[in-house]
Parts: sequence; structure tokens; C-alpha cells
Amino acid sequence: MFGMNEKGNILFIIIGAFVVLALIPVLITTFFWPAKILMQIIMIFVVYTTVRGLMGSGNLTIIISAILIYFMVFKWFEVFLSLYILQLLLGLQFLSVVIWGIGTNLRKG
Amino acid sequence: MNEIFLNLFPMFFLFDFFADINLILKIFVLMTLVSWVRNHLGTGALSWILIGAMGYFILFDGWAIFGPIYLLYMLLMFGVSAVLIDFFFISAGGPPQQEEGMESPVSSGVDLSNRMKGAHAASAAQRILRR
Repeated sequence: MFGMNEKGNILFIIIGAFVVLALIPVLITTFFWPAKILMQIIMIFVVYTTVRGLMGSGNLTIIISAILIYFMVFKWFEVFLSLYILQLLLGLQFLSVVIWGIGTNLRKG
Repeated sequence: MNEIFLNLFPMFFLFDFFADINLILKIFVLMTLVSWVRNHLGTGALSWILIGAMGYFILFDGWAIFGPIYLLYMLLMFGVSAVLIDFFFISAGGPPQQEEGMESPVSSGVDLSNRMKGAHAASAAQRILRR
């Protein structure tokens, strides 16, 4: 697998790039509290919309949303913020650009 | 007391984390199941019986196999396969060997980069010749 790569271990560089991409929003929300509140509001809306889309409107939707919001938005906020940002970037096909860019700059034929 | 344990032993933090992730995943699987059954059978008694039976089988009896399958399904749905294809096929290897005759189209990032370098070198050489 690494035979094609003569100048450094590009797989680890790409994984490192993904980790950096996931860490940036966590650092921003740690040092800048309005960003944390903003992202929490956005994630609450995303969770509620997802649950309502699957379960319809009703009391069960509120209960399940509350459980998920507690775990995903408050208890493990940093983890799920990273995952949410990566999912957003995946949806926009941005990670393909990252791979292409790293491949172009570091792997010279 | 619990916090002291969590601070002293990172393993407890990991157990707590994976237990919560497991619960979140189970809730998502249950919601997917409820949505799927309701779409096919409506909101009658039969659909609730089916949700209960399938829910027990998937979430408790066979969770060791259905959990990873759902995780894989989610990853594929989010488009991770496109990233893998980009990494292993599109940007892998570099350009093909140049053959005589027609020039091949741009095939990869490495190819494009080399062509841009070649174009820069050619324009620099032309500028020197003009002087």
C-alpha cells in the first residue's frame, strides 16, 4: 500500500489532517464561549429535526430528543461536535478536496 | 467518589463513553426501525407488535452483529466510501506512463501538478529566449 508513496507516510498525514479538521471546532468552542452556545443550539435543532423526521410529532419524540440532546449536546459535546463537523464536510465533499490537495502537494509521482 | 475514579483511571472514562455511545446507537436503531415499520404497516397494533419483536431481536439478542452493521450503514450513507475511492483510486499512483501519439487527459492531482510545473518551466524558458 505504501509502495506508491515514496516521500513520507501519506496515509497518516491524511488521517492527521482529518484529526486537525475535527479539533478546530472543539478548540474554537473551548476558547470562545458564544461559539459553543451557538453550536449547541444548532445541534439541538439538528437532533430534534432528525427525531421528528423518523418518529413524527408526539410525546415520544420529545422524550427521545431530550435523551439524545443530553448525551450528544451536553455530556459528550466535544466528541459529537467533531463528528457533526466531519459529517458536514463529508456532505459537502470537502474531504475529497483535502485528499486531493495533500496528494498533489506531498506525493510527487 | 465517581469523579475521583474518573480522574484517576482513564479506563473508567472510556467505559462510560462507550456505554453512552452504545445507548445512543441503540436509540437511533430503534428510531430507524419504528420509522421503517410505520412506513410499511401504518400505526396499528400489528406494527407495534412487529416493532417490539424486531426491537428485541435487533437491540438485545443480536446487537453484537446488528450494531456494527448499522454503524457501517451510517458511514456508507454519509459518503465515506467516496472518500475511500478518492484516496485509493483517484489520487493513488500518479499519472500513467507517457506514450507516443496523443497526449492523455489529466488523470490525477499529481499529473495536474506536473503539467503545471512543465508549463511554468516552458514559459520561463520562452521569456529568457525573447531577451
